[in-house]
Amino acid sequence: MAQPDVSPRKGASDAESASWPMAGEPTQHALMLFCGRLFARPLPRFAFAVLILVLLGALFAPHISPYDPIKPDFAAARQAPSADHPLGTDDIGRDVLSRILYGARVSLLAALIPLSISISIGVPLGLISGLLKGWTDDIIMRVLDALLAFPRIVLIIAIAGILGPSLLNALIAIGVVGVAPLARLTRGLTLSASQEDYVLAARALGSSNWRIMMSHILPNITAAIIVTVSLDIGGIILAEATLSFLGLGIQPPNPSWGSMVAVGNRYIQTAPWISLVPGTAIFLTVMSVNLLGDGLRDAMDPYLRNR
Amino acid sequence: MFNRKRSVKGFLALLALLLLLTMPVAAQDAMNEFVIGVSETVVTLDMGVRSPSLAHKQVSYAIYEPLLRLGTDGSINPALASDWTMSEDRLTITLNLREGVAFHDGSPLDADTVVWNINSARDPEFGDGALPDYGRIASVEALDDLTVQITMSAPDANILPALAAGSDSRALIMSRAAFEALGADEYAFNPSGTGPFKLASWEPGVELVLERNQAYWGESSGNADRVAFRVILDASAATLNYQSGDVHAMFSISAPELPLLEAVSGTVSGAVARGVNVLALNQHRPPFDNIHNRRAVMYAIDVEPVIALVYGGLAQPARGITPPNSFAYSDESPPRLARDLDAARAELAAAGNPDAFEFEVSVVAQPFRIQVLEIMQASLAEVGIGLVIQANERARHIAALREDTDIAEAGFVQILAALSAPEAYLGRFAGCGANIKIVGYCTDEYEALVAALPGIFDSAERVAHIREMNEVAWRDTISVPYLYPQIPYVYRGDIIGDFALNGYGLLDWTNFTVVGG
Repeated sequence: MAQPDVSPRKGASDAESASWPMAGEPTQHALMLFCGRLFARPLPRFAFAVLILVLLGALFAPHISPYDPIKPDFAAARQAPSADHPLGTDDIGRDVLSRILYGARVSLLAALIPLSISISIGVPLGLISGLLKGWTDDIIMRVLDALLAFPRIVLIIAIAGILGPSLLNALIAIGVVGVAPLARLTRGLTLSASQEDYVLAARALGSSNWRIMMSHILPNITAAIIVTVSLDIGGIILAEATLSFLGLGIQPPNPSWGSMVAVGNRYIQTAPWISLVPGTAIFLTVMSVNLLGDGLRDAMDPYLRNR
Repeated sequence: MFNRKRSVKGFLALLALLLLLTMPVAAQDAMNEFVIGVSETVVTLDMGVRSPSLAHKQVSYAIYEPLLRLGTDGSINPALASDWTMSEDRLTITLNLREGVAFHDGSPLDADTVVWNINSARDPEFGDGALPDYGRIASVEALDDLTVQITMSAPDANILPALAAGSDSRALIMSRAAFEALGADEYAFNPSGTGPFKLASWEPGVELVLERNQAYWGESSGNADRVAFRVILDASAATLNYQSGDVHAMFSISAPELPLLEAVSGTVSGAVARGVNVLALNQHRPPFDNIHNRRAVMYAIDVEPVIALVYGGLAQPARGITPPNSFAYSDESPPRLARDLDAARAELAAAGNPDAFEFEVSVVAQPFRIQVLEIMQASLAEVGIGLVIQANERARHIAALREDTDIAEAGFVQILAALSAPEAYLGRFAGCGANIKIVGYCTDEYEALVAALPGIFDSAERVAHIREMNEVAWRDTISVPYLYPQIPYVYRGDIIGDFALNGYGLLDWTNFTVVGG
């Protein structure tokens, strides 16, 4: 039997709830309103523009890169930025701009793959744990507590070391380590949401756990999860950079921003552009993701957005 | 309520306390202390444990001493043993120990301690296992308090350099009393030797400080009171430390840093030959079970850009495994590594794979090693050979070289060849009993040469024999020795006065002086 939707949007007052898509209201309108709120401030606009640039650079790298990113030119090693090489060349004469563009692909992959793993495992685990409680909750949480007991980067290095050095394994390691915090967050949100009147009402109407989870709880905690995840992206890009720096990420000669910083580190005084350029790219991307995450939080939070 | 008088008193008391705390620092500054920057962490000072790092060797040879000492010309000189004799059949060596030598813990050096040290080094269960250099020792006994007799199972021309710890620091003499009182684990951080310096303090991974052994038995013209080994893993950070004057010497630096360091006022620089770099080819499986594929790689590698870009010109193309700093080096044969793309293509055709092949090289994930392989990658690609870099953490790389030959088809190897003991690298790198298992070269001919070498005592014959081994190794292309590196060093000549390297290529601690001391 179909169950009536009794879920309001969490935290929304009567006046505010009008701005959320209710039954029959076009979703497009809500999306425009949301985007309007998100981009009302200059910082999210700037962050979005930077991320779009990174995305375009990564997508069209083969078409816009002036040189082959892995072919060395020994005679041109460690050349300062010039008309021929706008961002200079690296330790064995490869064009830094071309490597930055190709390296952007790695950084974006570094964000997407671990997040997919963390979300697809962490969110269901947190939902199940928070809703079913009891021994299910105990078992899941103790396992996750054990994972959380290890320092994050040490655990990532250990997993990447066991799986072997490759970009995919490094990203899997980052994703696996991200499961525990996300599951804990989801569990907390689920526990809180499950005490709300609309969940109690759904239970009283005989809804199954599955329906309560998918139709009532998940939609109401999604905003908080999205914001948290967006703030995590910066950390994930930095984790990939760390792994590449340690030689556990992408294998040479393929470029990643982290490995480029590691190589350039040897020449920081004589050819600073080799590490400064990828370092700046990491900085700008991570900062933009964090700024966009802040913007998303502000736009989704009914209290903050009215300040 | 605020009490002005009490606050002033409190402030003055605090000031006095701070002055008191800074007094030891001021006193320390008055000592002749200097700081050496090292890029590797010393992990143990138990001489039963093998550690190949240069920093470990520098510290070990300051704290400990061998029975005999290597001279800079490769000669064998007295050290803890004042003299020695070898029987005519070369099966018995009698060592007379110095009288009145004491370890840092106060226990005396005697024959029982030396017997215990040699037997421990021969024990497969002790530390990192049996020392190969002592493989032909049949027994050791103390004839009296200061006389030790070693009986050999077969003559060994390498035994005297081995007793001089020429190729392995495990031959250095430890205090048995301290070792047994503390146990191996605690002793590793509280070493006791007879050397001119002893351990003052040690924060692993941060700094290790040695201080002068005032009771040193030997002559010492140096005046340095304390030497600090400060661990600075990052080369750029190490350079900044040297430029700021916080570090006074560095003995293992990367070539790109050298011009920056030389620009610092008062700096004296030099370079020490450090053996040979080899691309070890795995003959256990394709493609390098085929000699033509091995030769194709040898001919296709362009070593000049490696020397120019990675070593700043401080290296030369190799001609075999024996490096120029060995007495057995010949500048005539085997041929120096030279690029010949036509020869490489011909070898590929002879191997039956004109479309070439791809192989993985295991390497420790360090930028300069990867840089070397990236340059090789580009040069091999010109004949269609694909080199895939497998950047591993150290343990996996060592496993690839020594245990699990399935990990990679090749490995990046640096051999720190000992001057006086070619057995240490010729037999261990290749041959049926080699500890670098990845090469997997085991022929009757080469094995006979390896087995015969320890029995050759005549210098000229020994040199001829080693050269023959190099010829065979080159003919069969057992791997690709590609360059002889030199490791640059710098020190502040206006702070460190007299300075020399000993026969081990390490600091001579007995004449290390500090200017103004």
